[in-house]
Amino acid sequence: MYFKLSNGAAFLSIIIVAWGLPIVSYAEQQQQNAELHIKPTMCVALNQGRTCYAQVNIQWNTLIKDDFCIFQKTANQQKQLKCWKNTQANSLSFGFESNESITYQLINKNNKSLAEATIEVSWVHEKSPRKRRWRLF
Amino acid sequence: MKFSRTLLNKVRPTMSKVLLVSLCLFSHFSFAVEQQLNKEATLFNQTFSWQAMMGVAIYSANSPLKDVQQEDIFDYTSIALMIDLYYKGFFIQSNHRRSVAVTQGAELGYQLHVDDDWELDILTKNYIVGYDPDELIKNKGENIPTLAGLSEREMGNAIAIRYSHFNENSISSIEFAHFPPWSAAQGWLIDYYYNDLVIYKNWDIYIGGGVTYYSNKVMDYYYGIDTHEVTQARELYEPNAGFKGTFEIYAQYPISKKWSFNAGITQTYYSNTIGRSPLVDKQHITQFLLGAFYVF
Repeated sequence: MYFKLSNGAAFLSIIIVAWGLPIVSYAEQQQQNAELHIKPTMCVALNQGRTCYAQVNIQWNTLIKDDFCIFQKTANQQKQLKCWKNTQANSLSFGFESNESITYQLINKNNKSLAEATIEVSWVHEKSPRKRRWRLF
Repeated sequence: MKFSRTLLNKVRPTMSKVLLVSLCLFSHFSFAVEQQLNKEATLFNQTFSWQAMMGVAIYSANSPLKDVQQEDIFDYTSIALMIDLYYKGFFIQSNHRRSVAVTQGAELGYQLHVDDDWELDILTKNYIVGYDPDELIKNKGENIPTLAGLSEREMGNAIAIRYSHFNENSISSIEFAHFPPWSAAQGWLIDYYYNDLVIYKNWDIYIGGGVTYYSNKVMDYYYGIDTHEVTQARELYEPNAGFKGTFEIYAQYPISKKWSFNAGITQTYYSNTIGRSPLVDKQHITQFLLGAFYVF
């Protein structure tokens, strides 16, 4: 009896797990189809090393409603910008200020990155090892 | 080293043409002021620093000369190529903070002393834009009585000592220049200039002003009327020393990795000794410029 019950429980568990797995993976799969669009994708400063300024708009969407956050990630740190609850799509506008490229990520409640886009910081004039002078050099 | 030409007049350095080119180059000055020389090339085991830019510009620039003005679309546009070189203290370059100086071409010099906040150079450059009266008349398409039969005023290349002082975002300099014996113009001049950079977001805004003092001989060559040049429209004139004051605002903005936009306004005031010359009818000159530059 015990053996049978045990087998039955095990079978039941397998059924539940087997039933549950597709549901979880489907949800994540839906989230995998998340999109994140950012404008502009490049910020150009006049000189290398100078802080670049831009008005940035991020738009994101997923196939299902859930809790999501936008994070910004640089080489040294990661920072949360904004979060939404039970949302499928939204946008975010903010003033960009950085002297290095920044990646923006759409993160779900499991802290998993679903989509990302980068604003590249570039410049017209490269930095010179020479001290800044009256003239070019 | 700077090569520049207008679309209309590619050869003759008439005042209006040079002014045109110079205004175009004016757009370079702030463009380059923040930019550092960012290219190096090795030739015969020696490293040269260099930078090249090309610019297109439209501008409005009155001449102080009587009856001389921009005539057609070509007088309002300009294309310029600027190449700067540096090698072990020697330099060929444009002055990148000053519209007037830049407009008068590149300078060749040597750094006598370079310190953290000051520098001493010896250099030669063109301080005064000359003009060819015949070319101005030809360009206008009709006679200009005050210029008819007048001798050409050649560009004023002088040898100078320059002291420059640097602060965080500002530069001030004073130059003592003397025209060499082989120059058509004689005499000396003193040129003082101050320029401050204001950074607002991606904009670089340069605010500057200066005074150039000309000796009697310089004034006589460019603004005087000799006895053999006297006509009904041009009386004898032997000016004393004079000066020119300049105030300018110039801004540049990055468009892409290779292009930037620039705009500027320059207000120039000429002293009474210049204003009284029979050749001159304007003591206040306002110049505007809009342009774009491509950095190689």
